[in-house]
Parts: sequence; structure tokens; C-alpha cells
Amino acid sequence: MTTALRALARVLACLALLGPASAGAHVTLDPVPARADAYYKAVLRVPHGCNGSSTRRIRVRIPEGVTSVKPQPKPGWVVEVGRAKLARPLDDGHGGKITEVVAEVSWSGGRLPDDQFDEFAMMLKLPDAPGSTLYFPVVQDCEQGVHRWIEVPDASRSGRELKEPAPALLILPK
Amino acid sequence: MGARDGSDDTGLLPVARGQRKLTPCLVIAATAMLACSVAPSAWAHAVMLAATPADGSVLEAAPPAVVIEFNEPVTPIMVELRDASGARLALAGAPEARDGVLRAALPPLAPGPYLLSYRVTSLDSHPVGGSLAFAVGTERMLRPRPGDASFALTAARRAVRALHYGALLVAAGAALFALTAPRAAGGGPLPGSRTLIGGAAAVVALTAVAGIGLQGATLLGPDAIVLGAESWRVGLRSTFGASAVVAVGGAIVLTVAALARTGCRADADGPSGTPDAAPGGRARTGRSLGLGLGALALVGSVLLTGHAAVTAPRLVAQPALALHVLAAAFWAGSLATLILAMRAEPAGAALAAVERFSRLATLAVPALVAGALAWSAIEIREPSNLWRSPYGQLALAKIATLAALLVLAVLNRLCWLPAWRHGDARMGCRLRRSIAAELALLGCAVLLTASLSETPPPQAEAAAGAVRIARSEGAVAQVTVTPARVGPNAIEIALAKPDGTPLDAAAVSIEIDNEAAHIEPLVRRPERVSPGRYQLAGGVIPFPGRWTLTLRARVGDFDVVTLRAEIPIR
Repeated sequence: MTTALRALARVLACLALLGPASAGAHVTLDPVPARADAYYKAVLRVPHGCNGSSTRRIRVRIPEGVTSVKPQPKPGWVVEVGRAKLARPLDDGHGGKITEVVAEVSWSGGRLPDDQFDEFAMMLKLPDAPGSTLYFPVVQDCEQGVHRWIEVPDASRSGRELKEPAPALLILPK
Repeated sequence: MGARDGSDDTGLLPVARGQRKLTPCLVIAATAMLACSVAPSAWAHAVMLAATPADGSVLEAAPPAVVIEFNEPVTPIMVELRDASGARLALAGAPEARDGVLRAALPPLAPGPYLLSYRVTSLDSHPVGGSLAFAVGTERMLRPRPGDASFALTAARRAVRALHYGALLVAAGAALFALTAPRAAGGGPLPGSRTLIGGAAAVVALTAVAGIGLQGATLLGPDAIVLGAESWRVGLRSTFGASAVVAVGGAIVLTVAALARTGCRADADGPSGTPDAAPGGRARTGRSLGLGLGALALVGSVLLTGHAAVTAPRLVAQPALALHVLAAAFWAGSLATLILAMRAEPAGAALAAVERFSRLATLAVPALVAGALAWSAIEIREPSNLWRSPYGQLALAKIATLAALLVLAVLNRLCWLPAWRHGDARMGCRLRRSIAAELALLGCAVLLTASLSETPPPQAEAAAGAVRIARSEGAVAQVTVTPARVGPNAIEIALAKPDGTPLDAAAVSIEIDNEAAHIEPLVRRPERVSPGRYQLAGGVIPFPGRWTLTLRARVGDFDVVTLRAEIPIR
């Protein structure tokens, strides 16, 4: 009797290790966290469409501080990059200056059904800012409807979960 | 070897004890993970598609159930119904969900606003919640409107309230006067003083209890059964109920303090005449404490309900009213005590008592007037309201009564009392009649007060809403909620950039939440009227309290500005 109870306890403990599946419904960044001032392969995981509708376009805004962005091409999708001029040129570490950065990356033209999952990747150079959190707001355009993963927690949040949070990346010390 | 050290029988590498336990655990975890990965892949939150009754609607008849449709099968976790005071009401049956339709049967609902708050889980076990606010009945929101109730109910309620106020003033005031320890000829307290306090306190308690039922019946509307169970429940839950409970408590303390015989204290003082002629020091302190606390509780009970509870600024309004009531009580209670004393006591003791009162009245009368002036200044903003609004007219009548009272008081103090003191015996009689007249005038003032307490003051008649400014990085919003009362409210938003130019957001959504009540927030979408201006008409806010309005304005594709404002709802 006690052996059976112990076995049951072990099973429950193991299942508890699996944790809640809630984050599986959001667009998230993987892997998190990352190291400061390093090259980082950011992978946006898109686990579903918009209320049953297929995803047609993914747009992500690159936060300030990320100076080098190279998206990964995807068969069936067209990659586009939007640039913006920097107000103050930055030192690029090789003796030159950076005057323009990538502000937005989008993958469009493809079709990701709601019951399938896909990943959209970019290679980034993260800023030397350990301890900070970077937010990558994503707009997911579907055949019918839009999901905007753009909510950022603010200081006065009462503790309720955000419904459509922007994918977040915590930056660790080097 | 044996299984002691966990080694296996082949004698090869000993397997540590912990490892033997870990392996099955990992196997189970791995199997579970595999099982999860082949589970149905609709890993999306459930979304509410439609609800009946819709959020913010006003219905003519009470709905039998709330039906909410989702886009996928859900399991209910919590479904709560709240009424206009924020208290939870029991549902008529357990909520059930079938094929993504959640149905909660409702109990019979009286007219008024209600909130249904729910949480469900979707297939990915992520909870989804929301709230619906709706109202039953048309204009009958939960505020007493004198025109609606039947005449008999109104008359009964006002009469009970007037009696309650009158008895409250006499009981508290007589207790306060007794605390100043006026002595009778025999050395004890003034005759009848104790009985007066006890009797008045009993009337306070009875009228308080009766008032709860009458108030509840008024709140429910003309169809309510007067003094039925529902009336009592609603009355107890209102602020009037709280006030009545405190009043009954104060009355009990007063009765005990006034009438309790200090009893057989055959102690060091030796046997003395009447049982309470020379009570021991501790007993006297106890009695004084009881009288004082009881009087304060009665005065405090007035502050808990009616206009006193909601008038702003509270830091000024409440002390002003407390001062006014305290002074009025002292006046009424002392006069009542004096009348009884003058009848029974010889002239000398009666004179001493009247003198004592007269001295203290020089403090009480200005306090009464000061409190009244402060209160009137807050409630009757402009002098023109005095003759234009019903509240102002009643206040004018009360002022006239007060003027007559002051005239009598001045005559007492300056003419008749000195004459009596100097030996003119007729003055005693005249003084007694004057005191009786003052008591009658005070009674009139109490009747007027009972009517005043039920009349909305002029500032509430104006479309007073709540206006709040919310700021955040990149935006400023001015939020106006009219009329900031329970029931349908119109919300207007003016959104601007920090430099003042209108901010035309692509989409705006509002979340109205009441954190103290632990409900799911109400989510509403205002309409865009012009650049930077958004409007939401008629949404029902179901119960009073501090509500937080969170505004989410999407400016551009990737940016959401969140602004928060606190709106008090009466």
C-alpha cells in the first residue's frame, strides 16, 4: 500500500515538473536569457494563428540598442528589412561609425495554418547592457484578424498577467 | 550482497540509492511530455464571442440566466454574481459549459445593477476571464428616490427617522449633560436623568431597527414587500444598516451605564442614603465612561450614512457635521433633563443646574452654528440655491427655526435667568415654559432634518461626474465619467500628446476594474468621435467604490500607451 502511494507521489511530483502550459499560447523568444554584448540567434516561436485563422505575415520591431540584425530566410516567405537613421552615430568597434540600424523585420507571403507552429529567426548583436530587458513587439497578421503582441509591463501593474505580451529578452552579464 | 547499499545482484558498479529512485521519475516525466506533445494542438486562449445579456445593457425584465459563447470548449473555474453593494449573490444552480457555451442560471433579481464575473479554462489550461455588467429595470437604479415610493412608506420612514434623530439627540445630550455632574438637592444626580437617558436610548434602538427594514423597502422600489426578508437584507447591507448597528450599540451602552445600579456597595464609604448616592470611585468612572462612549457612538452613527458618508471634502464635512450634531445633542438633552429637574427639584438645585447648562451652552451654541455654516457651505454651494432647490428651502426653514431658538436662548441667558437668580420666583415658571418652547422648536428642527437627509443636495443635482487626468510617457488623457454613480455611465476621453495636441490613437480600449472586489475587469471599447476624443455611452458600473479605469491606446503598429485613472463611484 505504502509503495503504491510513494509511486503515486513520485508521478505527481514528476508531472509538477512540467509546469504550466500557458506560455505555449504566446509568441515568444527563444532562447532566454542571453548574454550582453554578444551575437545572439533570436528565434520567434509562433505557436498558433488568430482564432483559427492562418498567419500570413510576421513583423517584429527591433528595440533600441541592437545594432546588427540579420534575418534568416525562410522558404515560402519573403523577408523584408526596414531601416532607420540613428540620431547619434555609434561606434561600431572596428574603427567606423554606425549611422543606420534595422528597425523592423518582416516575413510575409507565406501561410502558417493555425494548427501548425513555426519559428522565425534573426541573428542579433545585443547591447552591452546587463540586467536590462529588451522587448521585441510582434504584429502577427492573419487571413482574418491580427494579433498584436505589443504589451509591455509598466511599473504600476497590479500583478495581473498581460494578455498579449511582447516577447521579452533578459540580458545577463557577459 | 543485499540491497543495503543499493548494489545490484551482479556485483558490478553499485547503483546509488537516489539514482534508483530518479530513473523511474525521469521515465514518467518523459512519457508525460511525449503524451502532451501529441495532444490536440489548439494552443490558443479561448475568446468570448458573445454574451447574453450583453455587457453594459439595461434590461426591462430580469434574465433567467447568463449565456456566454466562446470559440472553443471551456471549463468554468469561477462564476460570481455581484449586486449593487458589491456583495456576492448565490447563483440558481452550478454553472455548466457545453461545446463552448457557458450557462449560469440566475436567481430572481430585483431591479438594480449587477455584475457577473467569470473565469474559464480553455484547452491549453490557460485561464480566461471577464466581466459583464448589466442592470435590471429602467430608471430604478439603487438610489432612494422619494417620488417612487408609496406615500405611506415615505411617511412611515420619515416619521421613524425623525423619532430616531430626536431620541438620539436627547439620549446623547442627556448623557453628556450628566457627565458634567449636575447635582440634585439630595446630592445624587438630577431626578429622572437616568430614566431619561435609558428611555431615550431604548427609543433610539427601536427606531434604528425599524428604520433598517423601511430603508431596505425603499431601496428595493415600490414593488417590495415592506418589512419582508428581502427588505431587511438590503437595508442591513446599505450604509444605513451600518449606522443603525452602531446606534443600537451606543444605545445599549448608554442604557447599561445609565440604569445599572451600582448596587450593594457596602464598602468603605459606609452605608449611605440612596444606593447610588455615593458610588465608589471605580463605579463612577465606569459609568462616566459608558455614558461618554455611548453618546459618542450615537453621534458617530449619524456620520456613517446619508449625505454625511459621501460629501466631499470629507476632512471638512464630517467634523463639521459631528460638531453640529454633538452641540445639538447637548442642547436637546440638557434641556430635556432640566425640564424634568425643574419639575421635581427645589428652586435652588434647579437654578444651579440651569446655570451650569447656561455656562456650557456658551460653547455649544457657537459650535452648533459653526458646524451648520460649514456644512451648508459645502452642500449649498451658492446662496441662490437656498431658494431655488428643495434642499435649500428646507435648509432655510431650519435656519429660521434656529434663529427663533437663538432668540429664546439669549432671552433666557440675559433676562430671565439673572432675574430668577436674584429671587424673582415667577421667573422660574417663565424659564420652564421657555425651555419647553425651545424643546418644541428643536423638535421642529429634527423633523426638518429628517426631510433634509432624504433630499438630494444641490451639488448632486448638477451633472457632477468625475474628471481625472491620467499621465504616462508620451500621452495625457482626460477622462470624464458622468454621473459617476452606480448604473449607466457615460465615459468621455480626451487623449493628447504631452505638448497638448490631440493624439489620434489607432485603437482604444478601456478596462474598468475594482481591485477590492476581486472581480474580472470589464472590458469596453469606446467609439472615436474626433481625433483624440473617444466616447462610451451607457455602460453600466454595477456597484460603488473605487474603480480603476485603464486606458490602452494603440499609437502606431508596435506601441501601446497605458494610462490609469481612479474613478470613485457613488
